[in-house]
Parts: sequence; C-alpha cells; structure tokens
Amino acid sequence: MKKTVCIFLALILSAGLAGCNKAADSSSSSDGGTTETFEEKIFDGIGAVFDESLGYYNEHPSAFQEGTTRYLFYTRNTVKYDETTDSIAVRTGSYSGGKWSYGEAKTCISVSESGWDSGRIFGADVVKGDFSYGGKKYSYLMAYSGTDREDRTNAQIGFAVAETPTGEWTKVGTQPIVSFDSSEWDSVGLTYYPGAIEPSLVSFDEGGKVWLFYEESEVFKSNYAYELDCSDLDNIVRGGRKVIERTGINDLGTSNPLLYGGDFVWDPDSDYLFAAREGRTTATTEPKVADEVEVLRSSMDILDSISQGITQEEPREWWEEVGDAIDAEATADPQDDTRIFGYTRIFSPGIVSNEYGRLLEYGTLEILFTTQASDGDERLPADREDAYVFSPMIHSLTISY
Amino acid sequence: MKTKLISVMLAAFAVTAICFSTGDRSTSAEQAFPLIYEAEGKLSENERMTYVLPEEKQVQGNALSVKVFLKNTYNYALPVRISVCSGGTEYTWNSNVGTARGIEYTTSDGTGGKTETGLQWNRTGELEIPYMFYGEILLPFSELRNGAGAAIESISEISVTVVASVNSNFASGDTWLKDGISLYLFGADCVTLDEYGTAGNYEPLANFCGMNADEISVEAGTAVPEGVLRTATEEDYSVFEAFVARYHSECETRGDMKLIEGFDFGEEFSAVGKERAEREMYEKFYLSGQNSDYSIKENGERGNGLFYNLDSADFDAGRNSYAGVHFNFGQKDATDWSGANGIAVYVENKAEYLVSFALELFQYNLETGLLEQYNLNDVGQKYKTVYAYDTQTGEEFSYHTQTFVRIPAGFKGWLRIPFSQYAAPSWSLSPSYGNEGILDFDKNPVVKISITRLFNANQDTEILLDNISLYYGDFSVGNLFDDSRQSIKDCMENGSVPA
Repeated sequence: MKKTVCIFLALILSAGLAGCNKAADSSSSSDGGTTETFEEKIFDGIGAVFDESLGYYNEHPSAFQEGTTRYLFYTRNTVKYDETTDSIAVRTGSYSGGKWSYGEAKTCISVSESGWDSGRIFGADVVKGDFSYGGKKYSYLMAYSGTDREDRTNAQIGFAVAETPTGEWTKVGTQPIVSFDSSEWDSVGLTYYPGAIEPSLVSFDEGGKVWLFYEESEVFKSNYAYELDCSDLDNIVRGGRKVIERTGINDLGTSNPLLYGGDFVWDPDSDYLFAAREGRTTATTEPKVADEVEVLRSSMDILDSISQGITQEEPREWWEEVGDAIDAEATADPQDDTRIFGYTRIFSPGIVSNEYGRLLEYGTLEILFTTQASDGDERLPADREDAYVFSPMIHSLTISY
Repeated sequence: MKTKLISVMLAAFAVTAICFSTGDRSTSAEQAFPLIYEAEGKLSENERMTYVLPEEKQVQGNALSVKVFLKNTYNYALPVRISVCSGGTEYTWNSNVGTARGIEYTTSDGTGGKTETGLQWNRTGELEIPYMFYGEILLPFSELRNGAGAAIESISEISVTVVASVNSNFASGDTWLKDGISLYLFGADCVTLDEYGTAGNYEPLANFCGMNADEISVEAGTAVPEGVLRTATEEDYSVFEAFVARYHSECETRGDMKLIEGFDFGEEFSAVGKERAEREMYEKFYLSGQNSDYSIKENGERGNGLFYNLDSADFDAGRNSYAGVHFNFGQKDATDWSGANGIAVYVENKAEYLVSFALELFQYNLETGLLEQYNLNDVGQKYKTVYAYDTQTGEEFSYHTQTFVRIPAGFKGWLRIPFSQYAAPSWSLSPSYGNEGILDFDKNPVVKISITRLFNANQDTEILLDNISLYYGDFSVGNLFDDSRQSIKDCMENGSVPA
C-alpha cells in the first residue's frame, strides 16, 4: 500500500519560526487544487520548535548538529489527518538570535508499497559514518521502526542511507535489520506486542561500526545495544546484542523500571552513556503516554560488564539521573496565563547530539520531546474524534548537570 | 525392645563379584556383596544395627574405619552414631565439634583414587554421612565421646545407629515425599592413623560382604524396626557401581567449561510409566509434579541428549502446575563447583515460539544439614540476565528473564547463566526452611539440579538439553568492537578450566 501524497506547501510563511506558536493563519498545500487550512495545536506550555497544523503529528524527534547546522528528524503523517501516511521527515536548523530555527519539512522515507514496513514507519534516528550499499558510498545511516500493520505493533527495525541528511534516502534491502514477530513471543500467537522500536544509533568509530540501541517490547520490555559493522550494508557484520541493565532507574511500583523511549548518546571523553527516557504514565485517557521525560547516564561499562560467579552484593546500580526531569512544571510558560500549567503528556525524548551520536557539550543537554493533547480536550475540533492523534508537537528544553 | 532379624538369601551371582573389603587389601576370590540397610520412609525412632564379632578382637591401631556407601533415594545426608563395645562397655563417637575424617573412593573396588575428606558432625552430635558418600569413615579411638581413648584394647561389637529425628528437618515438598534410606555396609577395620591423619595398617574387624544379614540385629526403641537389612543383589551392586563410576571428579572439559552432565548414558533411562518410576528409586533421575515426557536420545549437542516434552495428554489437574526432572549428584562432583563463574547448557527450542524451563540448583548446606534451592527468582522479583550463543547464526546476545529461562523461538546453542543471577526463592527463605540463601561452593556441595517447566506454558513443546556444564571464563557478549575481550565462542574454543 503506498500513499501517494502530493501536498506541496504553497505559501511558506513560517520558515525558521522556532518557538513561534502560530506560523501563519494558514498554510496551504495543493493536491488537485485542494488547500489546507492551518489549525493551531493545543498549547498548555512552552511553544514548539516548529509549527505545523493540527492534523499532522510531529513526534519521535531525533536531532544532531554538524558544524553549525542542525538536522531534526521526526515522524510525521504526510496527508493531513491520515495516520496511514507515516513518513520520516527532516528539518534543517540554524542558530540565530539565541535560538534554533528550523526550516521546512522534507520527507526522507515513507511507508513501502509492500513488505515489512508497508503499514507504518516511525521513530527514526540518524548517524554519520562511512557506509556502502549497492556499490555506492553513503555518509548517513538511518534506523527506523516499521510494520506492515495499520497500528504500530509488531514493529521491526530497518535501515536507510543518504549522502546528505536532506538528500535522497534509500532504504537498505527489503528485510528488517532487527526482526520481530509477535507470534514468536506467545505460544498462542494472540498477543500483539509493540516489537522492535525506538532505534538509536551511536557511532563507535566514526566509520562503519555503530551501536544500534533499541527497545524490544514483548512480554519483557528490554533495551539492547547491538554492535553492527555497517561498512558494507550488503553484508552487515553482527556483533553482540547486549541487553542493557536498568538498575539505578527508579520507578515507583515496579522492580524492573523501563527505559521506554530511550535515546542514547555517548560521551567518549567521560565514557558515559547518556539516555533520555520516558517516565511512567498516570494518564487514564488516550493517549496513555508518559507524563515526563528524564535523562540518565551510566558508565559505558554497562555494555560489557557481566557479574560473574557467586556474589552476595546487590547488582550494581548503573544509572543515575542527570539534571531535573522535564515534566508539566518544567514545560509551563509563566509568561503566558494560558500556558502556566504545562503539558501533562510528555514523551518520546531525544538528545541533541553531534553527527556521530555523541555528546555535544559536557554539562548541558538539549532535550527534544513530544507533547500531545488528550482525547476529549474541548479545544480540539469537535467534528474530529481522533484529532488528538494528530496533535503531537516537538519542544526543546536544555538541562544542566 | 523388639528385634527383627532379617534373613535374605543371596540371589544367584551371575557376575564376577568383588570382595568389598576396606582399605587397599587385596580382593578375595570369594564372590560377595555388601549388606544394605534400607527404609522406605522416615524413621519414627532411631534404629540400631549391631554386629557381634565371633570373638572379641584385640585392637590393632588407633582408629576404627567403617566403609559405607550412602545411596538414599533423595539427596540428604544420613545421621548416624557409631559405637564399639569393649570389655562389656559401649563407647560411642558422638561429637558436636570439629570435623570427622573420611576417605572417599573413586572406584567401586577401592583400588582407584582416594580423597581425604571432612565429614560433619551435626548439631545433635551425630555423624552425617553425605549423600552419595562412598568410602571410609575414620574414627580415632581418642575421640570417643565417653573418653575411653586409647584404653580400648579389644572390640566385641560394632553398632551403627541410624538417627531418625534429623530427617524431619529436611525441606518439605515433592523432593521429600519419599525419604528412602539406603545405606550399603561393606566392613569395618582397625587402622592406624599417622601424625598426618593418613590411615594404614588395616586389620579387619568385620567384613559385611557376603555376610548373612541375620548376623546383624536391627533394633528400634519401642516399635518394630522400619528398616530392613538385607544382602545386596546383583542389581544393587550394578547400581552402586554405576554411581561410583559415574560420579567422578575428573570431568570432561571443553574450553572454559567442565561438563557435569552430558546425558551420555543408555536409552534405558527413557522408559516410561511404572517401570521408569521404579527405576528412579535407585537411579539418578526422579520426577515430580506433572508427568514429564523425557527421553535420552542421540542427536544431542554431542552424543545423547535429554529430549524433554510435556505431553498435554498427560496433564493432571490434581498436581502442581509444573513438571520436574531432577538429577542427583554425588558430593565428590559437587565440591568441584568452586571457582566456577556460572552454569552453561546446550539448548534447542524446536518450537516457533518462546518456551521456557528452570534450571535450579540445590546446595546441601553442610552446616545446617538442609537442602537449599536456588533459581532465577528472588525476593525482589527482578529480572535476571541470561547470555546466549546461537550456534546456527554465530550471534551472541544477552536477554532478560525471570524465574524461568526463556528460550527464543528456534534457538539452538548455548546458554550461560552466571551464578550471580541465582538466588534463593523468597518462599524458601522463611525460617521453617532454614535456607540461608547464600551460595558457597567452597563450603557446600551442589547435590541436585532440577529442570522444571511450567506445564500450561510449555505443553507439547519439546526442548533438547545437553551438556550441562560449569564455565570458568570471563566472557563478553561478542567482541566485534573490542577483540581484547573473549566472546562466549572464544571461551568455548580457547578458554581453559583452572587446575
């Protein structure tokens, strides 16, 4: 199934309006002459890093900075109010006037006509390196989740490559790199698990070796670091696939806290592995997503250290919190009386890294994250019950540690 | 006091039997089997076996040596008191301090390797014969409880009293439903212990091999004895030989692994039904919970392997939800676990979906006399980490599990579970179980491994298990990014087991 989308922004008034709540009265696109009306999303706190009309979800942000340019990748539906038109889009950011401004969205990849990612694609991450595929050299590798289902379950992870971040992206092969089949995790095959999601790439050598961090969500929800040599993407060399221990993470009410929504960044100087993760949700109405995101760090030894032999010691507490969590209070805008409560649904965080998935600057971390209106919010269009699905937007806050 | 004299005629000896004399004495041309004291259940009272020597013998040496083999149905030590009668007075070894000395044999005829070993006195002063112990108990006359010491010049009687009370201390559950006692008695000698405790100069006092059982009285305090003394049959002796031969301390090694169970024994263990159940009474297997459909077949990782299915037709709603196959180990093997980093096992999951099993360890706590259970569950209900090497793809990976070891669909390869992942399940830490929850292979032996499967989650799925091993290497999960580390495969191919 291929969703052919012919939406062209005819009037671009909002380019580079980072943090601006309303880009324009309307943005229009043409599809046989159809013009779209810009609908403002629901703001309960700070503004978004770019504006796009309600009816388009902007989520799963992943950004890296190469030189003075930022590249922000995220998940977006290409046809308004149509969640079967997932794409991975990129916006180019430049720094000016004390803030980052992001340009127009460019679609990198869309759902395939057939195959494992023909239903949905989402949650991409990109890293720079030296890769070859089909006899051509590429400098950027994207990992993304996809599924052949209409919802985002039973997801698998695939790769795409490009010569430049905003150039043409080519999917690697016709099979996922990390496969997942819900039926393998349930003896009766009735349960649909999210699958392999939240890919996050970190370069090991600034060449072809990368860690692919991801979450495998089946009965157990585990995060893995997969060592891959992607120098030759036609013949990927697979190394160890290491489950990431989660000791030190604190979640009330569970012995096994999660690293939901994990985005990973490596600091080779301190040898810390930073991870942004979602907190647990207390929401009872859709979307049942997290209400905060936070950053953790661990020694990189977490990937290779194995507690061998008999020990009476408690397992090492690998993770520690970095800075304050980003919650409703942190996302409130005290300068605006209509936005003083902040957001109640905060999820899908991404740490802005350099082009190799490494730390930009020790001591501060810029976190991109997603917020979303809740189902039933009276500010959403009354004639669209699913409007909240198309309300996610991306924000930014910087934390210090 | 009632006395039951047991007389069991010896069966025809079809094989060349061996004189089970003690020490290094030469074998006799006489074909003879030892005596066996056995009881089907727990004793309600102490039971005393007394052998009166034809004539009082002068003591030669400074200690008594009693040669026994303990083949209880299940893993537990047997508390005994040993006495001698001298000049009309009974003297007993009965202590609650120190360590008694013993010599373990590694061959059934006693001519092979021997190991000096410590034996435990329990809290009530009885000597505990470890499960599967085969060898000599050395009892210096100077350590007699009632202080006869070197004053003993002659011996007219030798008594072995099996103590009933301690048996009730053992953990409840399926394991202990049938507390069959089976103690082989070979003979007793006077020996001389030198200043280093080494025994020599064996002077026979009693040779129970070939002796009619009715030459030894069995007495209980107020009741008819529940134990029976009989002469071993050829079958008994085969079992004994099998135990001694199988449980040797020199295990096959492969890289950094030491194989402790390769399932390389005959397919007769695969028999089913009543016949199998009876065999389990004296073989190393036994079952519990739901019916386990297991068999030993070729096509294991190497040679034979354990094919373990749970047949849905066998489900019995009246039983526990799990099915267990249990393997007993002798103490000699168990002491060899010290220094190991964890346990490795070859596994094949033939299903197209995840299946699971538990690989539980049972440590025999020599101090408390209790059997302690360890698995991948604990008080905190935290995930445990298992490490895998898929021999089909060459990939190595780690993953989380809990209580049971989850095996991915179609997996074929090796699993490694560090001992750090093992814990005593929370229920077993209650005072009534006396489980200290501390694995200590330097101190305590592992005497049993259990493979259990939750029936409902695994019915009609067959797994193959083979080559349960100890591993000693410090591995990493693959080493694509850092070849200074040893992968699981590296450890298996190039590692070594410390001497």
